[in-house]
Amino acid sequence: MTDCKEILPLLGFFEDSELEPHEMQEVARHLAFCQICEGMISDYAAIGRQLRAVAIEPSMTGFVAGVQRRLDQIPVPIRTRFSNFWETLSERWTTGLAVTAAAMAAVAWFLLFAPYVEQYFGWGPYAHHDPERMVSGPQKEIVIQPPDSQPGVQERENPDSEERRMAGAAEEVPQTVISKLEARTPNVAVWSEPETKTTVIWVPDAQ
Amino acid sequence: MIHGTTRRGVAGLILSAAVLALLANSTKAFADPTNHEVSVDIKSVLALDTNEGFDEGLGSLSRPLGMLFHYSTYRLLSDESKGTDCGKMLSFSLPGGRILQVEPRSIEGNMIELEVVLFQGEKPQLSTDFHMMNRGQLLLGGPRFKQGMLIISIGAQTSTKHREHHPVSASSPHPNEDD
Repeated sequence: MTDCKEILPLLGFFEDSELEPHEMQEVARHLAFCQICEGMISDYAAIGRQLRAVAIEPSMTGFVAGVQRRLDQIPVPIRTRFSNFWETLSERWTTGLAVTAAAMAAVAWFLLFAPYVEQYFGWGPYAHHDPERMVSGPQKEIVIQPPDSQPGVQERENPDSEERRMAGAAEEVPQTVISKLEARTPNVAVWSEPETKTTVIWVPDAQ
Repeated sequence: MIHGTTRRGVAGLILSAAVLALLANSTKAFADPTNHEVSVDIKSVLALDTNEGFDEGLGSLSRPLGMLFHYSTYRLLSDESKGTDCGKMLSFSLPGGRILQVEPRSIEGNMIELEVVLFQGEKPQLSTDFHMMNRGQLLLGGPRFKQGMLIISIGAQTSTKHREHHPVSASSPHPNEDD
């Protein structure tokens, strides 16, 4: 049988059910045979009831806000503040950078393919028919002087074929565009045939 | 919670950079005109007034020859085709000791830029830069050869392969022609 000296310190915890299960059993077994300890625990129970009847439970209104205010007043270390600010900024920058990168990629792609788009839709230099750009176009025959004599290009009318070539080539896309022509022979003739879309450069041998 | 956000931010940055780099490489590879090979086809034709008609080997070249010139005989002397990348020169031997150098410069859309130099001996007889339609042709005529005129057909098209050289000897229908 357990001694009262060992049980008395446990009576308060037993009343509050805060003992281990084996300790609860041991105290209960002792109380069954010990009137002194039973009287003590009855007194503990009565005191508890009286205290609970007297105690006033404080109101919980504004409790959370008050706690938050107290927390906000606590000084935060500068290092922690900087770290929090940087995290917030990084999140926003990541989103902005992704959008910017996508926009830049779209612009770069458009700029690279703009010439091909222009040509496909009929814009740009290769889609328009310009008789002046088409060498030996329907109106003129371009004759190139040799480089050691008169520089430049001499143009002369070719009236015999003018009507025929204009009728056939008025709306044709130039098949060949000559940007440079140099020859050692006295006369070089250039003309084109729109029906077969063939350009001819005539370079006779020097006589 | 803070560490998780940092990881997401870094991952987002890396992903954006990777996508941008991928787009840049793909567009660069597609848009770079020098990545395409150009196949150049050179046909040498002898034009005469001997009333023998068109050589069968001329194929589709017969029609423009008949429309552009007034000769009665067109004989195919050689047909050579070579391929190269833009910026590299091709050299073709022509009848009469002439040499034709062709250099594809660039490809812009459906137009091919070419530089052509015709040499007679060591001296350049003609030098020209022009843009031509893909699968188009340009005729170079005027040099005298034997009893007639030499007409050179220059054709170009973008490709990835090139045919082997197959020179054409004097056509069989004209065995009696004096050289």
